[in-house]
Amino acid sequence: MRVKIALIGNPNVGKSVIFTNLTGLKQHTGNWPGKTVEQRVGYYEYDGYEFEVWDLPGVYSLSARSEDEEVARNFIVDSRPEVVVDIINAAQLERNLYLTLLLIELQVNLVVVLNMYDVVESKGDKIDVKRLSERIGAPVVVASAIKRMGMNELKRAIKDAIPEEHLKRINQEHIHLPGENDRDDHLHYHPRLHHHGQYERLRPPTIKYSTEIEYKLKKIVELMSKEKEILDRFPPRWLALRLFERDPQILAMVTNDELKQKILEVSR
Amino acid sequence: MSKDNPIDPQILLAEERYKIISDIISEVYSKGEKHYSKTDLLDRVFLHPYLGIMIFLVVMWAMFHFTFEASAVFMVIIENIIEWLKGFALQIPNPVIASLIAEGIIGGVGFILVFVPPIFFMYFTISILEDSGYLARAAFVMDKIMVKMGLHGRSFIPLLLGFGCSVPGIMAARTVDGRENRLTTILVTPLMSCSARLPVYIMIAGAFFPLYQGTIVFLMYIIGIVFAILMALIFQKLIFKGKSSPFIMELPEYQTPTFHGSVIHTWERGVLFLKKAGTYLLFGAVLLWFISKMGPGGYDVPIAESYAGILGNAIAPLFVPLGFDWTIVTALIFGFFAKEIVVESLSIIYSVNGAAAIRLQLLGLMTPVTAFALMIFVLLYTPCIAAIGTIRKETNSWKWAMVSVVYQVGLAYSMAFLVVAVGGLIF
Amino acid sequence: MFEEIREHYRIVFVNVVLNSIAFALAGVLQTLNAIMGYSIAFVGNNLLEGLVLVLVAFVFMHGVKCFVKGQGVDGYALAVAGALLVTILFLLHIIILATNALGFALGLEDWAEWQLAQDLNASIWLFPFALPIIRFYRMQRPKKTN
Repeated sequence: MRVKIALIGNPNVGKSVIFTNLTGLKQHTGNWPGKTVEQRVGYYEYDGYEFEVWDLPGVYSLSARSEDEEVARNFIVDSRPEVVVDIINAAQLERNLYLTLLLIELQVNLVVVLNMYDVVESKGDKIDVKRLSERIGAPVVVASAIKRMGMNELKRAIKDAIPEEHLKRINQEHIHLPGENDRDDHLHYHPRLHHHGQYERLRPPTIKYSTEIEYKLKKIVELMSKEKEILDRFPPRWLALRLFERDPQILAMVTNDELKQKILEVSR
Repeated sequence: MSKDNPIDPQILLAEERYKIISDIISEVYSKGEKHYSKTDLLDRVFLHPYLGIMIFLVVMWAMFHFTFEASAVFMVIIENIIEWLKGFALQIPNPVIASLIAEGIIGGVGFILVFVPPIFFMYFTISILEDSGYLARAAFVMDKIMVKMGLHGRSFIPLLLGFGCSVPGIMAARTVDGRENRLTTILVTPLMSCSARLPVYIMIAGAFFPLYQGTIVFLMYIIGIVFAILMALIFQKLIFKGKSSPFIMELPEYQTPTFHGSVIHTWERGVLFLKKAGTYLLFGAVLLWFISKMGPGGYDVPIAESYAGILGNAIAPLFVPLGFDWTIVTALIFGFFAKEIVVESLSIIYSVNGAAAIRLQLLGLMTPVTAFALMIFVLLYTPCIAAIGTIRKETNSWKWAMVSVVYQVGLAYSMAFLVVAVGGLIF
Repeated sequence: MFEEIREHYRIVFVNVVLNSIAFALAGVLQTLNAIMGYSIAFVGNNLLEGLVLVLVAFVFMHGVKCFVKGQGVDGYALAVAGALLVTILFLLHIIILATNALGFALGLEDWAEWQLAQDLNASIWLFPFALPIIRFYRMQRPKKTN
């Protein structure tokens, strides 16, 4: 089986160039089912492992308000790729980091690409890459995709982001079936398909909000603790955040009216 | 917390996130000594209110000049290869199969392949403009004009994509806010001259205006833009009475495009054309060959007595005011499937060898004024079946798809008539 | 202010003035050529190309105006943008020249009467005028830090 990874980023960050650099012409295009958004999937091999790259549409946020955002969010939530590669335009760090924070909320296995770094340098500016990596709790790769720089480093970072054992298991063509038990910890959070998910659950959130908000989030998590089916699908913290900001798509999944009322009460 | 707390939790979270981001930025980002970056420097000029537009015109001209002048040699080379293949196919002993392959398939699809160089060259230039970051500036510069004319600024990107192909242009209208603005954009995008119309222009301009071929084709694109804007204004004012709003646009940093990247992008788009040639256009060529060879009288009747001739002759009276004879009319009818078929069907109907011979046929049939009217007609009428289907899918109604077809055919007819009438007065 | 900027951008200033004159002349000549139907060698007679050259000259002239008014950075930006356009036109015509030469070399009918002089038009031989600006721009760019 191939290792599934997703490319995401704001529009105009050079995402499609990186996609092309990674996969060459080994790609096929189509449409996302039921959507008018283009879907591109490509493949590459690295270090003896086969990687399957999903190019998600360029988005600024994951609010699922436009078709593009809906596609990107649903893919990450439902298909749980092993690694999500967030491509950032280094020259517009401020705006681009917004999406990065949203991805951190989603508790994905994140690799950040600092693309167009040469532009920053040409201005004479500098970015402390090591410190940035510490702050967002994810490996950061410096690249200039259009000059094909940093692509090998990216491939290495993607591979290193996945625990060796897990990589080997995927490589052994082992496909997890629903209900199958497995003792080891895993990257996946999708217990409906894979009965595991401890890997992410055990990781503390890298970005925390103000105590007031964190307190409310905790309260929502407590309220939701009995909703096993929803909790199985989404990381609890992300779920709480979405409920807190009253995301209509997620809120609609809470069928218990009393509970819904209580949650709305908290976010007020 | 009181019930009427006005702070939306969404905004609250967004503010939190921006606080964290600025905290991170101040920690990791250090500004160097003041230096003008390439982007800052160039944007002073490229985004200048009127210099920007002048530069846009220079770039557009360079793009078309390159597309036509540099591809000419390759077109002749491919044409020679096709002719050689045709001569080869004609030696097949069975006359029906020989005719099907030589006149139908090679004459039709092969003739289309002659236009692969300019189409690929155009895609190549669009790729370079896109990769360099200039395309977004062009949209930005044009946006100011569009808003002044009461149009929605975001419409420019779908219109620009319409140069390549109407279908992605129509789909890109999804980024336009507001139902009315979006519908307007969908309806006028097909007026932008797509690459499929290019072979028709090249063929006709090559025959009638050999010295000004590039200029005439450039003019077609400009006329397409003018009509798109005019019709958008009419739709906005008469049907939707919508308001336009300024738009926020992302301007990427300038990059030096790489040959490698542009070639890959060109190939990604161009391969769709080749696929079309191998499927729809092949099917169209076989069908056309069949109905132009078969008639009520059986196989190998004179072309005027074939089904194609009967069909063309039946509708031709409608086009007498424009000076189009039945062969042109038949080609235009089949042009509904795809614009390339206009060229393909003329090649099959005249069943002569090579572009030079087709040019001679056309020169015998039309005056330069009629030829220009024909180009206008091809520019303005419905681009293809795929575009109609896309409009239906995107608007989710047959009504708008039909509106699009009807108004475009009406516009094409009346404008072509205008050309003939005015041209008749002058010449 | 004026003195200071002219000092700093002296090479650019001189070249912008030169380019303005050269492109305006070449553009007007080519436009006239096209309208009157002359064909003077090394100028070309494409109407639109003539107008394009005039537009390029206009960009340079605007640069001169900015320099004179003391807006050195704007003048410099216009010089760089103008030089970029000149480079694009140059490359464009070199490619066209190469394809025409290919047609000639293959002995194709339409290229039988092709001559090198036809394609050596203003867009090509004016390119050296823009070279100093490009060189200045490349020198000004800061060095990579790593």
